[in-house]
Amino acid sequence: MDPFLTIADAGALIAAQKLSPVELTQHCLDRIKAVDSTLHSFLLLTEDRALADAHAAETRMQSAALKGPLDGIPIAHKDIYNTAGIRTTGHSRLLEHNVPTEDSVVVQKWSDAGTVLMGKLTTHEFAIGGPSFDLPWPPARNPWNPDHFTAGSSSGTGAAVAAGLILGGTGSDTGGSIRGPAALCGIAGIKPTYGLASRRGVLPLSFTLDHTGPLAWTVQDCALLLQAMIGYDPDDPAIANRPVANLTADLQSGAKGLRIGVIRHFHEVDNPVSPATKKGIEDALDFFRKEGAEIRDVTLSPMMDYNAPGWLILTTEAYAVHEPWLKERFNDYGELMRDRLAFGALVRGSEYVQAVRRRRALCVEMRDAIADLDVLITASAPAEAPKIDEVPKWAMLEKPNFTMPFNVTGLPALSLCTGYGDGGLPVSMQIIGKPFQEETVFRAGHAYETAFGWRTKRPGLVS
Amino acid sequence: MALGSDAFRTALDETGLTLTDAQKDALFAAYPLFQAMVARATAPMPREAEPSVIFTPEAR
Repeated sequence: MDPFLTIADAGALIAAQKLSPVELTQHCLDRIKAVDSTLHSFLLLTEDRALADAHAAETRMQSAALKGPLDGIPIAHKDIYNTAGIRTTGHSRLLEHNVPTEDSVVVQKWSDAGTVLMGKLTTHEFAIGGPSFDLPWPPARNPWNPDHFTAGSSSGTGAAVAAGLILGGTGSDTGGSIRGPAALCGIAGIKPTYGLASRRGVLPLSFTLDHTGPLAWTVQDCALLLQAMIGYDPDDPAIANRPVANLTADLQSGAKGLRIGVIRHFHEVDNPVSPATKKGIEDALDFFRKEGAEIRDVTLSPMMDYNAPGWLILTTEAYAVHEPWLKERFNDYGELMRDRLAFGALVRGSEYVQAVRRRRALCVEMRDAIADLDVLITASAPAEAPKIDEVPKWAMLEKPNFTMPFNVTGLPALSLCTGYGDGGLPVSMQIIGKPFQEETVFRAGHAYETAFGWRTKRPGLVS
Repeated sequence: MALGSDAFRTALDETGLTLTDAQKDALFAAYPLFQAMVARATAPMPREAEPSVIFTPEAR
C-alpha cells in the first residue's frame, strides 16, 4: 500500500475492492503511534471507534454498498466540533471533561458519508488562544520541522494531514484558522463561502465570522470533503438555503479562459512576503497565463483596513460568548486566550457598530472588484513557518494577515502549497472566489496543483 | 479615545473581570496596538452607511 494515499486515490481503490479500509485505518493508527508523541496533533485517539467504523466500511465494500468517495476514509475532527459520547474540550481547561450528547452537523454528515473517525485534534484554545504552553495539552508541532509553528487555530488538523496520520480533517476559520495551518503545513484548506456549511454544534468564537471547512493533502480532496459537509441546515441561522452544487464538476476544466485578479499590493506592499512566497505566486501566475488565463492586477483598500474591523468584530463577539466564564474563571484560560479576549470588554457599542458598517463597505468593494473576474490571488501567509516559541502574542494587531479579508467579506478562499522555502518548509498562496463559486476556486487550484510537483514530497519526519 | 494607565486600569475594573496588577500591566502594554486597530475600524462613515448585519426578512 502507498503509505501516503490521497482521499481520491484511496476512495478509488476501496471502490475497486483493492484496498481494505481496515488495513488503511490500521496503517494510520500505526503512524499516529509512531510520530504523534512528537507532533501532538491528537488530543484524543478513538482507536476502538476507528476500527469499528473501518470494519463497517469494509462490510459495505464487500457487499458493493459503499456510501460514496469518503467511505472508509480515516479522518478526524478539530476539538471544537461536538462529537456524541466523545470528549470535546476546545483544548481548554474549562471543558476538560466535556462530553457532548450530540454530534455537530458536520460530524454527522461525514459519519453518514462513511468516514472513519480517528479522534479529536489539537486546536488553539477555543480557536483563538495559541500556540499556548499553559494548557492541559501541548500545542501541535509542524511535521516539516517540529521546532516550528503549525499556525492555527486548526493546528492539529494541519499537522496530522501533512504527516499522513489522517487523510483529511475538519477545521474552523474565523480569521484564517483553516488557511493558516494549510499554508504553514503545506497542505490544502478551504474556508467556504459564509453560509455554505453548517456551524451548528461547533463551539462558537465569532458568529458573523466563523466558518467550518476541511483540510486535506490536495485540492481535489478538499472538494470531496467539502461536498460531504454542505447542505441546508434550518437550525443554523447563517446558512443559505440553496441547491447543493457539484463541487468537483469543474475540477478537470483547466485554467484556460479563467479571469484572474491579483491583489498584488496585499503581498508586496501591505505585508511584504518572503522571496520564496513571492516566487511561488509569480510562478503560479506564469502558469495560468501560459494556460490561457487572463491576468490583471486588482487594487483594494489596504489589507489592514480589512483586518481592523475583522479583529474588532471578532474580539467583541468572542468576548460576548465567553464573558460569563471570563468573569468567573479568568485564570483557567490560557494567557493568550484570556488576554486577547479581555480587550473585548473595553469595546464600546458604537465602536462595534462602526466596525460592522465598515464591513459592509468592504464587502461592496470586494464584490465590485471581483465582478468581472473568476478568482483573486494573493498570499496565504507571509513566509515559511516561524519557530513555535517565536510567535508574537499580538501578531494579529502588529501586521495585517492575508486571510481575514475573506472572513470579513465571506468569500470562499483556498490555501494551497506553492513550494518550499530556504528552510525546507512550505510556502503557499490563496485563491479566492465569488460567493458560492467554490467549484471555480477548486478548478483553478487543481489546475495549478496537478501541473506542479509539490504533492510528491512529504515531511522528512514521516517519510 | 485612548486611555492613560490609571484610566485603563479603572476601565478594566469596571468590566467585572478580575485581573492581577501584572495582568493589567501586560494588557496595557498591548493597548496602543488595540487602540490603533479600533481607530482604523471606526473611521468616520457616511451618516447613511448601513451595517453588515442588516438582513432580509424571511418570506412566510
